[in-house]
Amino acid sequence: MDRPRFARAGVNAMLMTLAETPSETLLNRIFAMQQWLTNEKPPWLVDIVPAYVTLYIVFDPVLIDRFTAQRWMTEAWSALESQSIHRPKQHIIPVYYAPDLCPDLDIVAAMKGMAIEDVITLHCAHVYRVYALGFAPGFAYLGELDEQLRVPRLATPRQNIPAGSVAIAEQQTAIYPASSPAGWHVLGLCPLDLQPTSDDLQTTFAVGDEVRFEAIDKDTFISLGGHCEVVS
Amino acid sequence: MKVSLHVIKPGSLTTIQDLGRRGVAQHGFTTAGAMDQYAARAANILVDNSVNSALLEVTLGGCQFEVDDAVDFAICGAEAPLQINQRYVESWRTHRLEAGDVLSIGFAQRGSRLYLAFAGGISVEHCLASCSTAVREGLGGFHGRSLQRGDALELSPRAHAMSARRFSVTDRSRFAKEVTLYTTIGPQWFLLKKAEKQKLLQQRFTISSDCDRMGYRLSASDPLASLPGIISEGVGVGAVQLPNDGQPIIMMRDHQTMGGYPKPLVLLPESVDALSHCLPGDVVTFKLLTPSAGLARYQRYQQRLQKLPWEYV
Repeated sequence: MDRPRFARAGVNAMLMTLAETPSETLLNRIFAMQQWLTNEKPPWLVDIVPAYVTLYIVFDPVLIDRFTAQRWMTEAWSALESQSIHRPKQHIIPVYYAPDLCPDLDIVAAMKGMAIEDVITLHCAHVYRVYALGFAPGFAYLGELDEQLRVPRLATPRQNIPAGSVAIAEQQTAIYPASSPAGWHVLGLCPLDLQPTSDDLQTTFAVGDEVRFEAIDKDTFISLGGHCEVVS
Repeated sequence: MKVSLHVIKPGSLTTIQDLGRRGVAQHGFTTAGAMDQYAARAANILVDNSVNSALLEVTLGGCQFEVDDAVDFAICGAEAPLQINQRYVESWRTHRLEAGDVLSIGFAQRGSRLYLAFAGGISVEHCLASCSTAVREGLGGFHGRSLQRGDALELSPRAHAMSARRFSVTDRSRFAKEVTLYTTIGPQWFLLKKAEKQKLLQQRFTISSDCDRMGYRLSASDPLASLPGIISEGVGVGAVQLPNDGQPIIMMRDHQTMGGYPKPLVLLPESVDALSHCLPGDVVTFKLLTPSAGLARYQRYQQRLQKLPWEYV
């Protein structure tokens, strides 16, 4: 796609589509755009939500007309192209892959015809990127999951899974920062508190960050503050 | 001077709100804020607060509060019987409570949300630049939750009593069991086939029992055909989502920040305000405006919100 495409999303919002499919290069640029907008803070810009291939933009139509805003966004997007690639933050997330607490480990292994150890190895082998933030505070959509690990969502979502659940669905993986209803398969538990505190806007992850999972044993999990809660 | 407001009966969902959070959606936080921004602004304006001051949003009524010292307040929004001690009082105007007075809000008869603004405001900490309670996130307001029996809020009333003020009948919201929702097109309007567009615009939808501050699920006798899912993207308040079952869900103030369902329409803010008073069983229809007509209507509503002329009683 040569130029971003704009769609109306109500009288005071628009959806800027930047590409047809997600990619790491696109992600870097979307992240750079988000940073730039956050620093620039044009007064008419009310809110933005960066996602896989889009930027959702809420603006104040009293301060700017839609087409001027679109021109401004397009120019900003083109200007970023030539800029140096930003260096993403890197996170290593400890995960206790526990067959006794996470029955899905066994289910995923069986579905894929591999050993539980192989599921763990594959899940830890990749460096994931944060493709989007949303659903709930601190929830990061990580991609791309190894093709050999891809499973559909649960037919019936669970009412509640523990905070720190590390789960997979289709080509995505994520850590649930808070206990929540969930339709993803849970592979393990992360002992870290990833829920953003209310006095600090900064969530752990930003769009574009790199995330790697590291398998830990039960003792380490508990010493890092983890609670052995069964996912049921 | 501080005054305490004691919660005797909390009602089903009474929360502290202001006009909501801005600039936080990119971090996954919902905007929250008053469901009916018109009535919330009106209540704050009546008592000379800034329009974004913290106030109480009462859902469906059934509340009782007591104060331990004098304070002026205004109440706007849904029609519900109001009493100070045993005396019935009028809505959309200011009143004064004296020490020991009990304010009772009966069950709403028309509309569903009431706004209670206290002159000088409620003392509550800002959280991500807003006082709004986001219950799902446990964030803001009074410990991130709705009020419960026995809670005490701190008010900071002004030293002098106010002369009573009110809105004329023409400036008060009106509530109906059948509501026209004004919309303009959303990002996926063009994914709909002609027949589906007609189903969306010509059908009467019933509000289902699945409606809260996050979203209102509608129920159609003739559901729309399912559309292909889209790559998850940002969603905002008023967006009309179309999930696979063809029954639209309208995003309200506590909406999630991202979603993967197509959004053929988006409500104008005035219609979000109107919808927030609808109850299960009420009927809505969508009216699609051209972009320019939508913008003109939006601007008129914004101007109305800026002025909101009250009068002395």
